Amino acid sequence: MGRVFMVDLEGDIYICKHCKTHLSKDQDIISKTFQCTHGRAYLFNNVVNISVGVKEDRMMITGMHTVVDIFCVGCGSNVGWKYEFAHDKSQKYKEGKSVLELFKISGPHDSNDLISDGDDA
Amino acid sequence: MENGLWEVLGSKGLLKKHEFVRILVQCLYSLGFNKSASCLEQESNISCKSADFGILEKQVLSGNWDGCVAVLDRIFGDSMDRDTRNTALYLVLKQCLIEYLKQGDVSLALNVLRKQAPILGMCKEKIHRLACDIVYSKEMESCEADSCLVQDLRKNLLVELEKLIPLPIVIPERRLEHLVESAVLDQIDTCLYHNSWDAVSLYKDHCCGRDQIPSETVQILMAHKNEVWFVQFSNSGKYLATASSDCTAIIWQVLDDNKVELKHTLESHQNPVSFVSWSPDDTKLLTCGNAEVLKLWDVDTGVLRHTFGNNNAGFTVSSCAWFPDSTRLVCGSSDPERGIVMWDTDGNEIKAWRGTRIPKVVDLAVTPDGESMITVFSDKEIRIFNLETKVERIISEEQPITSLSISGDGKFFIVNLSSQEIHLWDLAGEWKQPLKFSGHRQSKYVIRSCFGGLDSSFIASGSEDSQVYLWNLKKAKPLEVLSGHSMTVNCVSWNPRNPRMLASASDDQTIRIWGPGKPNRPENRLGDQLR
Repeated sequence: MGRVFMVDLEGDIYICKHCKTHLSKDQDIISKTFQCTHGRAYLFNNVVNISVGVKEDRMMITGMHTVVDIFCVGCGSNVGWKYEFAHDKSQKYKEGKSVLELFKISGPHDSNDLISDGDDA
Repeated sequence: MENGLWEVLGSKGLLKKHEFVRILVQCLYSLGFNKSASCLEQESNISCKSADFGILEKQVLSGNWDGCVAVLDRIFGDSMDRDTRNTALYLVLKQCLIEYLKQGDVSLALNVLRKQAPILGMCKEKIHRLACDIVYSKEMESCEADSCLVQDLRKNLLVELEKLIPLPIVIPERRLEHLVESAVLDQIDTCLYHNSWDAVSLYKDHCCGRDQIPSETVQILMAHKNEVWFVQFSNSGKYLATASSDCTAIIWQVLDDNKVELKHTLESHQNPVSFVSWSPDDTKLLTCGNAEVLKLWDVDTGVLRHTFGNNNAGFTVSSCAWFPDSTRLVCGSSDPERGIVMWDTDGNEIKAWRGTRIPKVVDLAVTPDGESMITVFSDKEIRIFNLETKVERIISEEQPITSLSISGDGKFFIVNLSSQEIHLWDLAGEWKQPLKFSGHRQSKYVIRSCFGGLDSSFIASGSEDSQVYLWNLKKAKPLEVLSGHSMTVNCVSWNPRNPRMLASASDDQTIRIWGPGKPNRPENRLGDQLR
């Protein structure tokens, strides 16, 4: 579908497990304590090479949020979601940030963290 | 005055009638209608030549130098411009001295010089210089005081004096013509569709329509078996090259009636071809792809001449450009290690820029004069490198850049950003901010744009909504949006020799050729103009 434009990241990076497209950097991690249906997830400040889906209101553990699903531009797999709007004041810090599911990405993270008290999918 | 010559004209009363009539008379004379001109002079009692100038003319042509000086003194009067007055008197003095010397009247000449020099405030040095000027001048070379020659010299003097005399005694040449042309140029300036240097009609205010720019599909080219990612006209506008994800490139020929037909299919690449570049003399074509090597082809025969590097060495080239001599080329790699390399057409490496300062090259171009190389590095940096002075200028954009394109005169370049904006920068580096254009759609793919039309006054771009967008550089919003393709338009190219011909390449596997549209309906015109 056209010539996909991909940005390259430097340093410790997280990439899509399927097609190895660069997605984010270790330095951009805000929180490691997120959860999704497939397991652990990290909250990132900035994610690249993704396209967004339709805006949806979802009820999560921490309250109602407006989110969009994000997809890797290389292979189209759903790698996580992005927070567009948080209804709860205490959750406002998440707006504009993205969650990447560890199940979908490869990177320098340790895959033996099992406990979490963060957000849910 | 009887016919009210002190009246004003024009709807706002800004034009003086007697001035208007005077420039009309001047215009008639300059067009050669001497009888009509003098008739108008009589009828209106306004003459083109002012009374003072008439007197001056008589004095000069009859060699009455004292009279001449008297008129000039009166003309300049108490004007503050002493320098111009002195220059005029100096010229008269010089002519006078030349004439006396030619007649052999040396003592008379010396007398005049002695009298005039202090009046003109001439110091010794100036007098000496004047003397040298005269003695060594061309006019003194011929031996005889030819009366014809003298008259010619006097006429020349008059022309020189005319340049110094202030308004309104003398008015600039062809004044009416100049005023009308200024008005027409102003109208052209606000005409957003303007695309040719043909003479415009004076009968109505100038305003072009869609028939001046490519806005209708005139031909659809189907030959590629997959998405077409790149299209570019040759420098002569006689050929077109397209590159596709079907791993081929095609050279097309533009016929005299502007119809396009297939000339050669270039097969050799094993991966999608995403970029081509015509040599400045249009005899050679370079092809390359994001995961592909660089290949050189002969345009006339379609034969592969050379492959640079090879796939095993991983020397993938994302874009390339030629130098004006059509034998040196430069290419940038999408591999951070390979950098930028300059080759000659025989395959010899001339120069290379490698190392940690050279990240992945997104796009690359060389200015038409071969002096500067513009490189877009992943993903927000533009570096303009002057190959002669080795000076480098860096522009950092705030959003990722997907492609680069230089204007035909090499003075400007545009970059497409994935934030759906096109930024126009000047090569000289005088602008602090770029000009920005938007309206098209771009978020995932590499969308390319180009300059085009008369004097590169337009920009065209592809878009992810399957349309072609056209802008006039004067307005940030699109001038025209062309529909026709059924999928993302990846690349566009405006024919450099035919301002009314545009080509677009799309994921729908076709290339569309666009030509002049139908003229606008009068009702739709209100939105066209800048005012």
